Amino acid sequence: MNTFPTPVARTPLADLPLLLGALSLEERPLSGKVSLRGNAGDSAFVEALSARFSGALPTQVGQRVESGQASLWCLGPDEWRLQCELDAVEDTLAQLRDAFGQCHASAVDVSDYYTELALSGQATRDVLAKLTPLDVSAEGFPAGSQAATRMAKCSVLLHMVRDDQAVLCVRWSHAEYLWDYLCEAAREYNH
Amino acid sequence: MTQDNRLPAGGLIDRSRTLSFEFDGKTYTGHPGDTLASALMANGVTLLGRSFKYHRPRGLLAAGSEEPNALIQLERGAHTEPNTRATAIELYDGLNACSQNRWPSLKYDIGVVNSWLSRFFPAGFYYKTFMWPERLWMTYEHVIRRAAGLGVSPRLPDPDRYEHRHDQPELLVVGAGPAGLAAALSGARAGKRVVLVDENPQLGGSLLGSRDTIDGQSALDWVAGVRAELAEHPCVRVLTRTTLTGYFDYNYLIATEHVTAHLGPQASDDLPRQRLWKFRAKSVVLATGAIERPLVFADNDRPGILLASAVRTYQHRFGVLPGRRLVVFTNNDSAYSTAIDAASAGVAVTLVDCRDTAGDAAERGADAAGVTRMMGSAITGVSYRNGLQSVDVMALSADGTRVDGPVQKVPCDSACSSGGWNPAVHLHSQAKGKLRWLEDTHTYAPAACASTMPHSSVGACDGEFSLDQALNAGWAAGGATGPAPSAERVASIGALRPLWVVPCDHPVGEGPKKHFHEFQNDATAADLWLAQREGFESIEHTKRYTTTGMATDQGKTSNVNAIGILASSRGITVPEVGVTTFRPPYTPLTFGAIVGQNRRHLFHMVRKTPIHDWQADHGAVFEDVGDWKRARYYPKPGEDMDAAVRRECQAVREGVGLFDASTLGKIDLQGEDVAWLLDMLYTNAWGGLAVGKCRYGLMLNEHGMVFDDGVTTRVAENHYHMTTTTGGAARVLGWIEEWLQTEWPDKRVHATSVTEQWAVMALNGPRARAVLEALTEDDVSNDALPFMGFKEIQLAGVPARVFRISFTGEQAFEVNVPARYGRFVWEQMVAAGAAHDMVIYGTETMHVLRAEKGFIIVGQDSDGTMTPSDLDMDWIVSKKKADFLGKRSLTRSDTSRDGRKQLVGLLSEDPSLVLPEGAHVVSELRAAPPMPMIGHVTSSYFSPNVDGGRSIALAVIQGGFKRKGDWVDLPLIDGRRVRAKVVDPVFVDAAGERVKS
Repeated sequence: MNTFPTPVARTPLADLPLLLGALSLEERPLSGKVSLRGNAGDSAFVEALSARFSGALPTQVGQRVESGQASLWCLGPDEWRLQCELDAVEDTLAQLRDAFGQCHASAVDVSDYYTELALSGQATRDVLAKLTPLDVSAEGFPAGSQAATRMAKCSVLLHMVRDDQAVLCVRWSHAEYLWDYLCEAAREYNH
Repeated sequence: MTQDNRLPAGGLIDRSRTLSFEFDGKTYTGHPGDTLASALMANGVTLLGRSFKYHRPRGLLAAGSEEPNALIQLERGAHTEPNTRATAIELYDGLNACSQNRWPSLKYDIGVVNSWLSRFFPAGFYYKTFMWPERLWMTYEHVIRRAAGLGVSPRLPDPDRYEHRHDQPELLVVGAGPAGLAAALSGARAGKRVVLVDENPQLGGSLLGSRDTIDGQSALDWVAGVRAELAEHPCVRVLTRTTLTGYFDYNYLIATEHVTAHLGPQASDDLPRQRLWKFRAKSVVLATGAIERPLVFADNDRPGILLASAVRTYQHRFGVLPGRRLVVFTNNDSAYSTAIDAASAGVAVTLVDCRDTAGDAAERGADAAGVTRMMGSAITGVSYRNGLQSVDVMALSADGTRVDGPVQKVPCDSACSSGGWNPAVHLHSQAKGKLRWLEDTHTYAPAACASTMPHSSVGACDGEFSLDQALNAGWAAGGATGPAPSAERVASIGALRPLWVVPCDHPVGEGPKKHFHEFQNDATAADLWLAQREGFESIEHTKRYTTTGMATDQGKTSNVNAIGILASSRGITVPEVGVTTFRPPYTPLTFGAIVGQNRRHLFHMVRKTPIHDWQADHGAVFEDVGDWKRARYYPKPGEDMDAAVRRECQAVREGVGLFDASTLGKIDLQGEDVAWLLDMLYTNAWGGLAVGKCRYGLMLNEHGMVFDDGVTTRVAENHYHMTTTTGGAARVLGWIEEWLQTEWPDKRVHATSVTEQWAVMALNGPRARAVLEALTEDDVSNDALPFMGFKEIQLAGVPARVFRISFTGEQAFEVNVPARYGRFVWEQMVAAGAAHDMVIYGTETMHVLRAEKGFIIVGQDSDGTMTPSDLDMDWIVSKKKADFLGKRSLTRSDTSRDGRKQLVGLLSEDPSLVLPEGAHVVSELRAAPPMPMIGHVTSSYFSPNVDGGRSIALAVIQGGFKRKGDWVDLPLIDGRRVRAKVVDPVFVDAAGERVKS
């Protein structure tokens, strides 16, 4: 019988030096991500989700609800992003597919599709404003807000965790470019 | 050099520090707070450039960004920037500037012969003189561009950094003069998110060059108070040194902020030189002020003749005056302030007013200050010899068309004029706003604006020239309650006498004296009349024929004068002439600002697979495929590409090879109607596909043309995994969504991109299974996982999806693992493959191997005009299906006709000759092109596996299927003529046995 070494997981920015200073930039550990599609008007779909998520299904684009270690984020009229611990993805997928039964809904593992960059520091909003046409001011995008937007040439799911911290969820293959772009934008705040 | 023209006191400059700078190789000094223009004026330098067409000497006209003459080549080498206005360059220590458009030197300029020959350079001279004979235009153009030009563009890469930044103000205020400051303050007090931009380094606008009082304090103290209050508001952003250059649809505006440009080359490594702001503003207040227009009198372009308001600005803002004996020529009251203020500073001032009387207050003030007034008079000539010597003044006739009586010579060393004021309506005009003609001040002011670009104009840019009104209007636009700031009501312009062309002692345009209305493009009143005589009556035609108001100047000082001149000569009213459109940019902006951060590695993303770094570490040579970097081949020491690819190709056919296929597009499809959807998307039938099976398909667009291909696998009852070409991933997903959303919204299908979820490794070759088996305990035998089968297994401890699909014709396994394990599993495969002499191969080998099998690459062997039939793939087009996308187009007369280009194989007569891809196949060889072309080579390689090693090619040739066995001719681009035999495109394993082994 063959024995294999323990699998080693890697993320796209694993080898990049962290940006640390008045602003810091780091790649977050890989999280579990599930792309959900369904009809918010279909009670079977809503019930299947509420079995896992206490509280109402978010139906406003950008709205996000948290439940334990997981969160559910409305990305479009029929699209949600479920975020959970990486280890929980397999069970979550199985549970959801069971719960969906015959209703027209899908759950797809996209944990590896994206990685998340955390940008922190006083000038976080200033840096973001160099990359996105979205209003990222404290008034237009208060702490807790999230949006799918364009940053430089990337599509990004942007989550304003706090006033001084944003998490940017970006495609694996766009991550290095976005990282470099953020470093350049942060330059004036990090001397 | 001493600053002889510097006044002993006054100005907003820091006299405690002295800055040194160079202009045309000479060293001068100035003070912080100076512009290059004010510092040169202080040093008595009046000659700053040569004019565009006639190479006449030119000096300063203005004090702001409307300056048309003093265009400067700033700095040298990589940092050089042409066409910067001396009036907008803040002085810094070590500044190096040069005048433009002169050769060999500014003082002795050979191009001045253009001026003596000026009757050969009339309006439209480009069109008239040089378009014939046509073949010489290229020669003419070269000479003309050199002779009539602006600055020199930099030859070296720009070493500076630039960036873009977005902002979304509720209220964007453009201009920080009295009206703009009042608007910003009002908006701030109303709690709005305000952005205030101004092109000057300080706030204040026109207040910086005046002696007004606001709310009982000096204007400058009031400005300081406003600045302090705005700084307190957290939602207010004040951007100085920032020029709003463009106003676009839906209140999208751009502005260039000079972040460090005013500090000199590479002042900071961390800050950008310039920052381009992109505003999306809820509302916009334009408070851009007004630009004074000159009077169009004889030789009014001589250095030392400025705008009246500019002289006043130089005095109050910079503590400098252009001379000791000043002549002020005006048709309105506003220039009286200039005369009075200059006289108060000890300058001998003569005021020439074309009116018989001025306003009471103006006359009283002038008399009290000791200004000599010459009423009802006009300047009819200028003596200039290395500086102004005197002006000629004569009495003006009542109708303004003649001058009479004796000539009075007024000695002077400087002069200025005021012909009235033009509201700076440029941004309003860019925003598609209309203009209205003001009868009392004889100028254009903003009227209605487009609903998609809501804004208001306040203060002088709205044609409201009194300070009090400007403050009121600005305050109201800002939205605050409470009383507006107030100032003494001053009728600043008084009764203006329109005098579009000032007559002189010879008919205008027929003697030696020139009457310029447009300085930057060297256009005179006579040019306008000529254009009119030649039929260019429309103002837009006149503008282009005479170049009035074109290019970087955009008619700031000239536009209304030009329209007035045309109106008076045609005997119609000014509004009847119409207006031209002002276009962005308001002032030129650098390419650096336009590009921003988006250059070098930030120009575009480079997409890399999870296995990329391993490949780079192991000597892969990469190629660009879409945005991706893909390993092309892995040369061993001493190998070139050909050698490496031959080795890799042979190893795969004889043993096993490993290939990174992660870039392939992947789409997860779920729902009851996926099978139905696949039947519509692909040409073949999908109904019978069992769970765990894969099938290849071709996608057509509505025109029946192949646009993508790939393998789709049924992984569960209503769950499929589709693959697309690398470049087609986004296009196919968009295609699916478009049909689902627009035509088939009732179909139950969800499509989710999973391209980057999976790292994909393809094991190909007779020993592929052996490598796989070393890494799994699951059964991957031919029975358990046959050709076109699918299975989920544990591979090296990682959950993997394995597809038995092949792009080489060999036994093959496409292994998909979550991207995070891509590198790990790859390394395990490399280790396991060592026992089987496994080769790592790249895209070049993949291309050769698939060509040996006659497998197409969409986009290489097809070009958007190929049907499945053209590609000899009729076998994959279902004859039974009722419909699929593109089906109806396959029976159109053109798609079903004979003689279409068809995909065939080609074997060159010389087996060592690899035909160039793109080489033409001709039906008849001739001595020289053109030759009747019947097709071209689409793919061509050296194959080590065919006939013990020979070249192979794929080609599309008219009626190719029927030509199999024929010889065709290919004239190559290097002159060689070669022959090739048309053959079947499958060169290896025609029976297709190996793939099933």
